[in-house]
Amino acid sequence: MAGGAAPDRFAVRRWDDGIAVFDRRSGGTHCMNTATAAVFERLATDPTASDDAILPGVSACMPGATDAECRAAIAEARVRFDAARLFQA
Amino acid sequence: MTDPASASATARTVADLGPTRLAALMRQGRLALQTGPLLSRLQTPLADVAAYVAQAYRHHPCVIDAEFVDVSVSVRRPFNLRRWLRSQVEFLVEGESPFEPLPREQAPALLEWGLNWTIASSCHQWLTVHAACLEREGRAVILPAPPGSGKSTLCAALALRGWRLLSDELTLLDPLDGQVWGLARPINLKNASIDLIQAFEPAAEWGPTTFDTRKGRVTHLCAPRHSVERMTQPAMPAWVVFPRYQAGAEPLLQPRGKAGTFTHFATNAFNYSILGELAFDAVGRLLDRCECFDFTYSRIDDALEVFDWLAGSPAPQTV
Repeated sequence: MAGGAAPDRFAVRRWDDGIAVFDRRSGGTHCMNTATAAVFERLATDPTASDDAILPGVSACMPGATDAECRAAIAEARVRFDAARLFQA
Repeated sequence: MTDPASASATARTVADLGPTRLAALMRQGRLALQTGPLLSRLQTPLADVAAYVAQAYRHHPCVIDAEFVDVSVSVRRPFNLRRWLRSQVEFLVEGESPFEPLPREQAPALLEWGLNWTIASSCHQWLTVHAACLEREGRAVILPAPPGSGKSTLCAALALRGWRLLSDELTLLDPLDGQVWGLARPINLKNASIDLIQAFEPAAEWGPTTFDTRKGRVTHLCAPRHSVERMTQPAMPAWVVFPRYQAGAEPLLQPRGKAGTFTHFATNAFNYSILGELAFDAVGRLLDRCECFDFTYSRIDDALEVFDWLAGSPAPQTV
């Protein structure tokens, strides 16, 4: 994992409606719906992934949503992840 | 005059002691009460608190002069000026008072609230979740819910109709094996819920009623004897049900997402952050194993029917 994150930084539990993530660095727990989880899972493998690269995974979780709505979801997830310092060194 | 606490016979239950000896032992700090896996030393010079314990915990085992206890608490009048102005009562754990004193007449209720606080803040061998818990035929249901949701009312009705009461307030989840432990302590009921359960089961046993608390009128329903007798048996959770009382509503049991349910456990387990990843794993395994529901109801009889149906449903296959 890039961005200085150790490969075993996160513990993840997955269910139909989303995921729960335990951040071993901070001790924090983060629960996410499927769209936010798609952003997380993509960034967890590549913290430099662009919105375009993330979009297909998010679209699959938001049937019927427009591209703009999916991009808004990605932007919102990034803000949340920044606030939680999930992908920062 | 004979000291009633000096009688030599070893009591098996609180009822065996009799109220006079119990009060003397509690005054001397020599009584430890068994609630589920916990042994709690209870000390008080207050006769009404001793009488409450004699009544509400009559079926519970107790130990005199225990060498080891899990928690040690006391309820007494504080040594401050206010004892001369308006009589108060304070709760102490290991000699320290974690709360402001309350009006004197709330002493029995303060014992219960203080015990809840003590267990939640010091017993980290379990993940302690703010939720009721009951068991039937080896499978446990966890009822997490905010105040006002009807959790305790529903818990009381279930405990009086064939479900074993593990706890009304604190569900103790073993993070290693996933089982839940019961305390079989009295169920705290408030206001209209008291009348409802008294009408529902006239033979139920109760503690004294306290008026004008912050929560209004409160009292405690004694744990049914069969629950106390089995209180050291843990159970494996099978369901997590979030009850919600809604006037006039038809009973409705709806599946609930597990990621969303996780959020509730992470924020309503008192020691989640202390246990860290151990708690994360424990909640994750719990939700993998359990069916999760939201349940809306307005009539107790409807709710009992739904829970009977739930208990009769086949257990899921485990791999």
